[in-house]
Amino acid sequence: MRPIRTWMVVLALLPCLATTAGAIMPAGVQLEKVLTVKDGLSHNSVLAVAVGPEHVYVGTKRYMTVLKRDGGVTVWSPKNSGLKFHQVPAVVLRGTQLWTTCRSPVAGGGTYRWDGLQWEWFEEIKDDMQSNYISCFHVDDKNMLWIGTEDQGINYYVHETNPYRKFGYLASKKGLLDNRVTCLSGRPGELWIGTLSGISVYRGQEGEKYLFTNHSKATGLPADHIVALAVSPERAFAGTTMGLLVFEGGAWRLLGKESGLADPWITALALDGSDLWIGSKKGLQLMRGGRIEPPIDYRDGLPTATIRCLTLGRQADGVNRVYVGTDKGLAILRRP
Amino acid sequence: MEDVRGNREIRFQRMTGGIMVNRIWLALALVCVLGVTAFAADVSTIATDTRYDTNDTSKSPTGIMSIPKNEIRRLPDMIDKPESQIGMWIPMVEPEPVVRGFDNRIGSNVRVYRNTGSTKAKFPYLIKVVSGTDAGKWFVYRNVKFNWTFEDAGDGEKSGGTNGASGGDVWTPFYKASGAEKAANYMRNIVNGSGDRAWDPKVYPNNHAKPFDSGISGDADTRGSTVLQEVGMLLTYDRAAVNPTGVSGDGYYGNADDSIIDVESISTAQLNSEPSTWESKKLTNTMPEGFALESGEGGFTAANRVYVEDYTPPSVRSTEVKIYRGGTGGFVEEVFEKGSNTWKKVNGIVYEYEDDNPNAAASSDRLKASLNYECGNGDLYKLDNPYYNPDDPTSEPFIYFAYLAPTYKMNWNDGESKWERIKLSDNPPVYDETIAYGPYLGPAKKAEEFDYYKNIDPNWSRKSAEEVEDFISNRYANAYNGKSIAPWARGLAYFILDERNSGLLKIKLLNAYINKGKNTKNESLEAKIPELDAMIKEYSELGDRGKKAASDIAEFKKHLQSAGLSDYNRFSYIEFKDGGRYCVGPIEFEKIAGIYEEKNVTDNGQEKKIQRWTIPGPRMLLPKHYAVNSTEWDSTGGSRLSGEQMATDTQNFVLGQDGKWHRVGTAADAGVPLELQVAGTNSNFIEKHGDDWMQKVPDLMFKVDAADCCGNNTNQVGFLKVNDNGEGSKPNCECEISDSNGNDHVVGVPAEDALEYGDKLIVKDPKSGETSEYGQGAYLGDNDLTTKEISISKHGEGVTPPIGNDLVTGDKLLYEDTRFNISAHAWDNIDNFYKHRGISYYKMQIQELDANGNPTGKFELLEDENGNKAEKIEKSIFEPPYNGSLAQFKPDLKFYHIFRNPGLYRVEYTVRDVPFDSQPNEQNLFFRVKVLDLKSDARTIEDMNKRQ
Repeated sequence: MRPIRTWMVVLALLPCLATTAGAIMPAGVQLEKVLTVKDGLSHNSVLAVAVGPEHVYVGTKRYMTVLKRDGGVTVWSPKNSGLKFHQVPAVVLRGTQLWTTCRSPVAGGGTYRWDGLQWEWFEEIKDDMQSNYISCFHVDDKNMLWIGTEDQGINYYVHETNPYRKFGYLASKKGLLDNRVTCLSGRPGELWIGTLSGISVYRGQEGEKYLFTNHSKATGLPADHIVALAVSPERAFAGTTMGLLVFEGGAWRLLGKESGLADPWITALALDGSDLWIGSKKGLQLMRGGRIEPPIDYRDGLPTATIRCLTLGRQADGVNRVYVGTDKGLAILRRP
Repeated sequence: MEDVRGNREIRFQRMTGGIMVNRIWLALALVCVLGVTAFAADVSTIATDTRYDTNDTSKSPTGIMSIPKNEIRRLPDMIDKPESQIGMWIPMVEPEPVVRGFDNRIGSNVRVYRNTGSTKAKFPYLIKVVSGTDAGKWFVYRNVKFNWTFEDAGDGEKSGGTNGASGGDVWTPFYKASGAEKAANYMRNIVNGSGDRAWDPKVYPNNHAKPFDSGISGDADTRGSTVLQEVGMLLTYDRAAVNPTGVSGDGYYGNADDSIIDVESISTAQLNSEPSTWESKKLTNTMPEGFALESGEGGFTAANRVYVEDYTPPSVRSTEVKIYRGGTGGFVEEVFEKGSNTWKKVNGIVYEYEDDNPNAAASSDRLKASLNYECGNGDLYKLDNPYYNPDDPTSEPFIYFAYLAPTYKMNWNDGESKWERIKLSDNPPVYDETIAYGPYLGPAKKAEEFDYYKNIDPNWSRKSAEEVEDFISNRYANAYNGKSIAPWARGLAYFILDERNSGLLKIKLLNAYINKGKNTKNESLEAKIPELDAMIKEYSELGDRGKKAASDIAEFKKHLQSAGLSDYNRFSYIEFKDGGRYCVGPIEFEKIAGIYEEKNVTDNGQEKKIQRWTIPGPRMLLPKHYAVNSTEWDSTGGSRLSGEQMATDTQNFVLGQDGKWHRVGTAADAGVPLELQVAGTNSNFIEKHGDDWMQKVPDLMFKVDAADCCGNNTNQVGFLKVNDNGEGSKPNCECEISDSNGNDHVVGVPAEDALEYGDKLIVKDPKSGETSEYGQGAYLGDNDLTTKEISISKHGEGVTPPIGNDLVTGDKLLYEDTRFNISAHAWDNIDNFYKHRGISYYKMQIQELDANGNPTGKFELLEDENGNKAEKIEKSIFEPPYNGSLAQFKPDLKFYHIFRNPGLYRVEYTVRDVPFDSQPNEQNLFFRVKVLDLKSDARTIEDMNKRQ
């Protein structure tokens, strides 16, 4: 009888332990694993993640780590890849092509394409690139690759249809709000561009006219230092240093701590159907049904509360996952 | 002042640095140069929208065009081949009255008939005019030439192209427009020298080797270039009226692409004899506004202007790698002159290059320059982490950062060749406190350092993870206290180190506010950086640590607001670099007088633009805790290696034609680090110089990147030597005397970084009573407390008693025949994070004094750790058992001593730092102790204050 009573006590205490340990994981979400340098990650500070059907590409402060479906791990460094420098701050998949960038503390490394066989490197000016300092990538619904730069606007890859140019560009001289591009997102027919002066929405060209709609403080945007964007046909969110911007009825509304944000200084966003994942220095939160749930952090198994990047993905196994890049490793959550 | 220009023939006027000195002529420099566009078509006065593509097809249906349209660039896959910069020029006009325009359709005023007569080889098509002046007439054409003229055409490699004609031997009214889709393939054929050069005989390929690209500024596209290449085409031909026979059908008009239409179905007519009367014609039209190109034949049929991309990087004028130097905690003040083998005073670093594009416009967005430089690894500071959470195992109590103190506004004294603080009044001396540059700071990262030292560093990577961990821990344990930094500068640190987004981005935000060239609307700090107020509010809710941080951020905000806007990008970021050092930058330079200057010169008939960037010395903030005497990698290899070899090597670097750095006289790649290379290679400085190169090189590297108007980059690397002769360069030392009961007393003058911001040292001469007050780092004297009294004026808390005085005056008492534990510690401003702590020598003596406190020459016998007794304990790294091995040297001294006689004694502790090239810096800590006899009622050091 004694062992049974002990088990009953333990079982009775479990919910309490879970409560005191941290936030409750959103329904259906489970922490699958945490990867650190001990597991082969090239560096614990994860800056960007791209999820393909076979591989997951993890850009870190030092090199890129490729997580293979069979559990294997490969590290791409300047010695065994085309990458010139160590930090890999942005990465995206475009079909079977991997597009990425790298930089050192003192230099931007340009843009790189890995087609599965070889690397191609695109440089500032020489290859029509606006800058070697790349901040973000986005692949839109028409498979167009967009490249945000730190202070020279945007490039987009055109060489497949234009034999004379590799990249086109958008910049303030064409109507972009600010050349300091921090993030990109999009929905059919629209490229959303986050900058340090607000949001530009680009709808293409009409003759020689570039169709931009700019959202700035002048047009009523409550906060203009945009650091993350998450856009779908139905909704648009922007993470700022002052809170979460929600686009509703043609107007922007700023959500702060009073709305449940653990930290108004957003660091990453990812749309997950009708839900929104929100990353900040104070953990990972899920906005579901308009309600922001308590943050998930180190108490729930994340390596730290500081979130650097968020990516959703489904690999060949059919499981939906949230890849949470932090300062101390990569956390992978399973979701329904 | 030393003139650091590479070419003395081109005489610039002396520049002495923006805010530091204003020279009116400098303000005119950019303006003057904008007017110098010697031979390219200056289109700056023409409305941007009409500069190129002069053919408004709605008004002028015929003309000429190029593929690629309007912009001539190299083929993307042949970007390294200048010969691939080809424009395929196409006439969209035909001899009168045939009309074939941009729509590539033959106008309805004529009908085309296929000639089936005996002259069909020479005249395959006959033209019948059906409307207009010559209605009813038939014409044939010969010698139809589209004569192309290009601005600055010639035979040279850098010409605007080759004038010539297209059109083929036999005229047709058709043009195979669909062939243009494969234009790039024909261009490749031209470059490769095989295959067809064009898809239609009317097409004229031209290699545009000379750039027509001034750079672009404002809201314009490439048409915003203030120079464009003019291209003209004159159509010349012979025409004869004919009377064909056997006419059938109505003739053809419409689509002129003979690869699409079925030419065999065109109605036929016969011309069986050549006409004898020919009329030579040339078709000329009015040229667009401002068009200056001349054909020599009385005009052009059509014209256009094109942008021709400039791909040529500018050439660095002085390719030798220079070495600059300054003192610890100071800035760059001297340059090494190879010719005289001496150091010369210099007001800054000058970077000069030649652009073969004289039309380069200073206003171009692309024309820019920036600086990166290493600042060593010794200026590591810490502050309380406002977010520290003891419950979070990932949370740390401190935040660490690399920090370089700012420089004040200064003037360059030309006569004395030095920068001088601006004095507001003489008595008392009051200086202008306006800060010109800095502070520069960025996060220190244990994890990244560990990663580097464990995996890359030539020495540490051979050691165990535990040893590396110990080394890193030691570094961080000895980090300098941020409390010695001004509160506003601490506020900057809190702002930058809160890395919810990158600190670099925040530095950019700060510069976007403070640089009036960027903050053109003079927007408020609150509007430009709302995060400051948000952080003040957030931190003030975090407890004591947070409140202090909030207070410091508020001070920083006040500082920014009171300082006003600047002409400069005042702030810069610091990051840990793969070379094991922290690196400042990029510092983006301003295109303002004193920083940027340019001038056009003619050299061998070739006009060039000379561009020059000046980095005022005070902009290069030098580390306070890293210098040429740093051992950096904690050598364990015996005698310390000299930095001289590398210094010599660097002077033998030259920039090769391939854009990479080489050693003089060899083709070998000099192995300059990847990020310092002009072009990317797989070279690796560490590998090429051997694993221990860094041990030989306590110099710091810098790199200036610059781009011409069109974004073509070049760069220059150089080295910085930081001499250990600045503020706080003497080693620091303290002595502790304790008994077995745990009573102890510490004597030592606090190091600069141990004082809190605002604290001062009060130094008094007891004989004269003269008192001097020294701010942090300002006291450069010795610490002989027997000849002077040194007290600390605590900021707002009064003045402490003279240091060490209580061991004589009676507050602390020592007794004879008591066993005292005496320990002495020393550390230098350089290498404090290593176990030897930058110390190469120490000596301890205790001398008996007479009743008046005068030395007697009698020394106590001291017993060292090996039991040897002597009148002194003395250790030097250069003598056995160390023999130069710094890693084994322990700078701490511990020994036991019993005073056998009561009386006055002088403890004499002398330490020296690690020397480099000259005598080491030495510090003496001398202080008196009073030893009482046994009859006293206590046999310990007792704190009278406690007893009271």
